[in-house]
Amino acid sequence: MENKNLSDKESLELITEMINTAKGNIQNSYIYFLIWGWLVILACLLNYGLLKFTDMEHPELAWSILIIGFFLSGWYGYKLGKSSQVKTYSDRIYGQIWFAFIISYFILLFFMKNINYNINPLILIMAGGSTYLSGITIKFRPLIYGGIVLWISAIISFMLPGDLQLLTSAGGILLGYLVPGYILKYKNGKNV
Amino acid sequence: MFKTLDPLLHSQLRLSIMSLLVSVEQADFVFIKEKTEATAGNLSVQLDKLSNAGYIEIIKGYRGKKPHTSCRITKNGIEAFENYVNVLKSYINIKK
Repeated sequence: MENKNLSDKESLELITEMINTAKGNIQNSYIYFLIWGWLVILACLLNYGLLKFTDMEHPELAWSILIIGFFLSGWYGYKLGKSSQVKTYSDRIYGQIWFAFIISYFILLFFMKNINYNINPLILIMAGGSTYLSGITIKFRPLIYGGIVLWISAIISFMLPGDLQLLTSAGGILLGYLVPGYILKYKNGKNV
Repeated sequence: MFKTLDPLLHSQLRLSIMSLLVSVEQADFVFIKEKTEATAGNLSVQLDKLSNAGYIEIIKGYRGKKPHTSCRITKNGIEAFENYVNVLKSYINIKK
């Protein structure tokens, strides 16, 4: 790029072009959807399996595998922060949304005994919130729809008995988390 | 009154840098270099000019063992950029 002087029109075009360049920078944020999506589905199915096929007193303890998610997300967050060349305002909001929801999950898991381990619909409500807000922040429609799917799953879940709630959760997370997560991954791959 | 365009911003590379920085919180030297397609030498000179004017802040540090430079727009920079755009708009309105 030269240091030449510009006409008014060239100046405006340049400003618009550069602002759009900075905006189009989608980070590798899909990774969180894949980590949490797979872990929550695994927890649901494990819980369902333990409930149906074993005499375990608290099959809900299957949810403790989500702890792996805290470490994995933390590690990826640290790695991405170190390698990213640019920090946008939406990246910061996006990171904070995830931080807020991870703290909420943690509190819920820690005290699940106090609410008789009925955490399925609550997990879906929170997952819906984080997904919807993420979609709004990075202006990505599949995530916005994903959030809505998760909220609908939560409503269905409240109307079903415990064992069926687990399968609804697994389905909700698959459609609301993993599908948009993989679309984002595919789009990100094309951007690079 | 006919306002003049800030000469510091009225150059292709410096205006590009400012437009990039106004839309992000912080950007690395490498990122700005890639997006503006400028040479490292030229970019350094222009960044210093903007920094001396107080329009941007240059943060030098280390990432691991490698030296690492990133830039951030200052309040003065945002003001100057907004003034520049407003003057530009007034020119275009007059021409209409």
